[in-house]
Amino acid sequence: MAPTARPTTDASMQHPIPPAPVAISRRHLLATLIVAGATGMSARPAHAEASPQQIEGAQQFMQQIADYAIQILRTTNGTLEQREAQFRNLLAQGFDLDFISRFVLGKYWRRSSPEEQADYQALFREYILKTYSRRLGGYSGETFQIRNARPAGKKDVIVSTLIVQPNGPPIAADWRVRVYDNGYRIIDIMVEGVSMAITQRDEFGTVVRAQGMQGLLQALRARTQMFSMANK
Amino acid sequence: MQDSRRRNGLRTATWSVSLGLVLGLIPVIAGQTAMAGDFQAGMAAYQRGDFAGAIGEWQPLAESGDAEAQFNLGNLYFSGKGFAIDRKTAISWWERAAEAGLAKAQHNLASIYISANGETQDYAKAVAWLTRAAEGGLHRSQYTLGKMYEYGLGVGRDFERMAELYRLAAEAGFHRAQYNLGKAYRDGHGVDQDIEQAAAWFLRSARQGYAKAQSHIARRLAKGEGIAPDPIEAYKWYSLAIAQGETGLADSLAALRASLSPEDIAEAERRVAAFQSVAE
Repeated sequence: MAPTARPTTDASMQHPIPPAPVAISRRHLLATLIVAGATGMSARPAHAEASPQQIEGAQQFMQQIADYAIQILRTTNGTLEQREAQFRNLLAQGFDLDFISRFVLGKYWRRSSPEEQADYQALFREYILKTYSRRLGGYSGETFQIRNARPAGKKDVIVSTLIVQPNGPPIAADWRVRVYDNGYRIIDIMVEGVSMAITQRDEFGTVVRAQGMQGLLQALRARTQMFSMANK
Repeated sequence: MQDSRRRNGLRTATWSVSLGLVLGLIPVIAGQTAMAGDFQAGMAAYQRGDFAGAIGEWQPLAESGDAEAQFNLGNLYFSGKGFAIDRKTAISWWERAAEAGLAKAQHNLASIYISANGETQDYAKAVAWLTRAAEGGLHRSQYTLGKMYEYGLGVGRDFERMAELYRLAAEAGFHRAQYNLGKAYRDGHGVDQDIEQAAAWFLRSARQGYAKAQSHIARRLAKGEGIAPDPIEAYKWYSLAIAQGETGLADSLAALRASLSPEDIAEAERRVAAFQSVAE
């Protein structure tokens, strides 16, 4: 999440397995190629891409998400669990989790039974919401700057942002926002050029190949059923 | 047992502080109490989002063998709160707490053995820890272990054992286990097939707000399968499941809508708006 303290760490948080350092450069290259491909598509006629109004709208949408996220992050009253629940609601509204979940499962989506697909979508949703919201706390005054927005593909807008940290280098995050009839939804984040969705797809693919679809479902189940802090 | 011993320990510490004040050993005692760490102060710091403060209190407690502090420290390492994410250290703290008998630590440790990749991934270890945590009465562990038996992960597939575990957690009120026990009755897995029992467990889970159970009970109420048909209630549960993100139900809801009078639809919508999940 852009508004959290360390989005790069977030990236590894959402995987069952933190990506191996060697693999980063390959993924980086892959992501760069895909971004380059998307940029190439902007040469299409105007009607085949997001309109200027939609680009402006996507930018405003990202600003609203960021403002609200920072508002939650700054708050210190109530329990951390309550603030995490607020954050989960924000994420559920801001992201198109059904689309992302199908993309992330890749070719294994259509190889799965309808029941596996339903189980997977419900678990993925919980997993993402839980994993991202767990990153709350430890907010130290990061700010979110929108740099620009440009069309990508037929119906997406990429909003480029910079997360400025008080104690560290700024982080570049690009948000791929899909334009729907009823509003905007985030479908991918590229942190320093690395697509979260593609990284996650690699990780899930590894799990399915080693442990099968039920192994992936059980891994997601295990991650969503863990206990948080114990009290006495 | 363990808790009362620890509380006695705290009381003893309080006494020795007072005694220390009397004997004029303030600097010595002050040093010791600062070293000891205060569990609740650590929790308060954690809730504020002050993770360094929480670590300051819990680290010394964890090192002196406090299982809850060990468990919490493991959680901080696992999610990268106050530390960089460090799964190995998280595992080693959870192991210490798990060996000491803290069921939550046994459960989290098992979760890592299920979901980690590479060498750490180990279903057999996961089953062993889940078995202990399930015996300790943790419903999430009973349910997760039930899944291991259902799919034969780290153990031989065993539907009877699966159904027993789901039942333990379901009867105690755990909504996911209730839904899964409903499925066991639907399919006759580990129990005699019984569509009325299936519907009853789906309904109990649905009332707690579990989306998948809501979609299952909606279908049964629409068809009158294992439960008296009730299209208004079916409409309600479909709507509630869809609102929670369950997919593939829009056609069923539309078909139901077409068969209902405007008054019935209004009544169903009223029930949807009034619905509040009741946790058991």
